[in-house]
Amino acid sequence: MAYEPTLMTGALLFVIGLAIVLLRREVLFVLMGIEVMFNSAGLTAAAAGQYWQDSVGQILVLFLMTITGAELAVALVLVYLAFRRLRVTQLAEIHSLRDAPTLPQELRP
Amino acid sequence: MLWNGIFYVTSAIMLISALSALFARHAMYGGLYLITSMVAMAVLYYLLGGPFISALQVSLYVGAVLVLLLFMITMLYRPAPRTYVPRLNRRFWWPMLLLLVLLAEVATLFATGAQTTVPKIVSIGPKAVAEALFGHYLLIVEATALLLLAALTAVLYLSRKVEES
Repeated sequence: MAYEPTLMTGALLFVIGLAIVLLRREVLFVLMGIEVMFNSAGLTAAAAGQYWQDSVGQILVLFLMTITGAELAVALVLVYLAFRRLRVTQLAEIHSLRDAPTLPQELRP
Repeated sequence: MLWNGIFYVTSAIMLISALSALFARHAMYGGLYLITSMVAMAVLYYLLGGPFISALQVSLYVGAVLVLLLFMITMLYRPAPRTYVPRLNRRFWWPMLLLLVLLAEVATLFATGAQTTVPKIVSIGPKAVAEALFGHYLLIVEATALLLLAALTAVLYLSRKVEES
């Protein structure tokens, strides 16, 4: 097994994920780009684990999957809230942290 | 060599489907391209000697995380499908310039480096992974469990607010 092509594949996948994050405007596509970048890091970790013939790389990939699940769940709820309250799906339109007209009654000033 | 052939074909499938997600018309198509890419990644994990994370990639990552993403896409919105045509203004060229610089860095890095080869692929099975995971890395497992609990609490709280409003 040549070691460099695996790292090269991981680096190319990272660049593609970064392109999705930087060039697309929809929030969901930005999340997908982040997923792609996480996976490129996982591929690099698995290749390095095979390079050292050790289980550390696989353990890193496992933690990466778990953290990605937690991150995606919270991020998706935030996207859903942004759509329900502000009716926006584009990233540039989410520019206000405070949405006073749709706050629940007990939180209104 | 058979290993190299499978590796390059799978890598090509993974990279092309990830690139197709960049130009996808609808978010659902993007999600499906992403799933294709992640299944190809599972094959790569298997080729790199990790059968356990290969199975987890299919069952946990594609089966849980990306299906969650697809559920959210179906629930969320249905905008008019439009082709992604990059508008060639300043907001396109600056990120593109950064990406090209990064790509050039990657190219120079791998063009000048020496070739190293791993003589033999050793399959590292679930037993070795589990022994390290619940022996040496037990504290990080507990910390991850705490993080998952925090994420669960946050998601429950935020979705409760949705129902009230």
